[in-house]
Amino acid sequence: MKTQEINGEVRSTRFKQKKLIARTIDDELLLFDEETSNAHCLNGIAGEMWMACERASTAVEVADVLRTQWPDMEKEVVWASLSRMAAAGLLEETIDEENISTARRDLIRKIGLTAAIVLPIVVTSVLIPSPAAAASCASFGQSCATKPCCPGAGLGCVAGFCVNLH
Amino acid sequence: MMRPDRFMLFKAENGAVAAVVLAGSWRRPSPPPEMPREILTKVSSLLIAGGGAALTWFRIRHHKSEFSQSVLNPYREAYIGSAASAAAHEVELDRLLQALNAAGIRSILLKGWSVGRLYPESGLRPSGDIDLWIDPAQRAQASEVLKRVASGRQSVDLDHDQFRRFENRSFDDFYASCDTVYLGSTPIKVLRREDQTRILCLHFLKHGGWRPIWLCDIAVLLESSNTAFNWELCLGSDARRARWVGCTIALARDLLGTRIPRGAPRCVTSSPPGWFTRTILREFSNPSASNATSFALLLPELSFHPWRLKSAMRGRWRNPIQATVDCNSAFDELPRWPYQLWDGIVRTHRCLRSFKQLA
Repeated sequence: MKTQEINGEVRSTRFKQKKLIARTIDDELLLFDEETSNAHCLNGIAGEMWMACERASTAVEVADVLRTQWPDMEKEVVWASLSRMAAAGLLEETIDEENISTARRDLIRKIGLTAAIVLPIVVTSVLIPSPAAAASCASFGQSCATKPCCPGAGLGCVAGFCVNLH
Repeated sequence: MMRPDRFMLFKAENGAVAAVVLAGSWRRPSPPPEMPREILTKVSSLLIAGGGAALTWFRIRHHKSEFSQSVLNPYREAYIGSAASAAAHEVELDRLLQALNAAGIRSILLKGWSVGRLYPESGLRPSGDIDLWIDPAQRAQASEVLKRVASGRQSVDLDHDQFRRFENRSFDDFYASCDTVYLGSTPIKVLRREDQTRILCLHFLKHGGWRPIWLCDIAVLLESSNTAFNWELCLGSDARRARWVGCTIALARDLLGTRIPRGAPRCVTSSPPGWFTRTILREFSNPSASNATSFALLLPELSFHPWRLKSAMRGRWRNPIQATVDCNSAFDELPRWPYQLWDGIVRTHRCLRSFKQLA
């Protein structure tokens, strides 16, 4: 029964890349979500999975693509990996609601993620400070607790904030 | 390589260690770490705050087995963050430059990506503002264009007092000698190597030598090409400022092992004054920059917290480098406290005058 349910999920769920900034660093895929300021680093195989979702694809279709490099790739493993990436906000997930109910979907996801499937993917997520926080100096109204007020603009650090002094 | 003296070890040990970690780290292949893990743990917060953590990761990432995960993780996360920020920075820069170019607006990209592109990988230095120097005659038009196309996620800085303060050459003069580089297919004007070295050195000094990554930028730029380096262009005609720039380059050599282009004049080859190196190492040891808050606000602050006199005074002095640059004075062996004192008086006077105007 569980196997049938997973098969249904594997065939009825489609995954599509979210609009993220993607770059290859070392042999990993870096994805940056500017909306949430979250960066995610995917290892080689996870990166390939994400890249294979350029158009909405099922786990079966993605597994077919991956088998050129990893012949033993199981569609269930791909599905569980893609679900995990979707949960991390890297993929959009669409499900044929006629075929599978939300309750079943949740159940199957739970089974998929907690069963003895060892996922080959590694996702490292990092929250990125805003560009203003990375700037070399603080401008008017910004905190000067950890960086100086920008010189030349007549700013001074008062009570922890840059204010105009002349 | 510099050997820190006793004073440095006492006052600025961590800064010297941070410099040792960063020395040569931008080269490919980067030098083997050859440092105990305690060192990397000790200076991780300094390097993260000073912008050098991603570069440190670049140096140690092929030697992961020598370090524990707890040592590696902060550097790897900083690298991921820096690479992500750089990618977003490039997307925005491309959009802005395309719009400015299409509108026929002349601009020069300063710092940021213009030097970041010279590192072996994108994202080895943190990306901050997009610093654009716009043709003064087109400034209003440029502001309109930027308002229309900028995403608002990256801040764009069009004000660069540095040129007004330190340069007597015009925008046209700089623009005429710019190099054109490409981000994807978008042409971007950047200062030629000699001008950029000078600008980076003066920017570093203006901020009191606060961030180690800025010294790495200078090192990367100097090592970025084997072509002849025109020292006259870089140092300029003002002997005092030539020495400022020369001391900064000498510091990059002494602290980071930077290979200096051939033919350097004496103002570069001779050692910088002791106070200069000590100040830099102290700044490198300090994860947050000294704020140099107003003297005029000292009394109100002390009326609430009189026991904080010592710390309140300390935070109000500009460091010896900033004070010397603000006073347009020489980098010689004389003590710096008169400049710091004078700088404090000038700033206090300026502040009181503005209060008077407000009243």
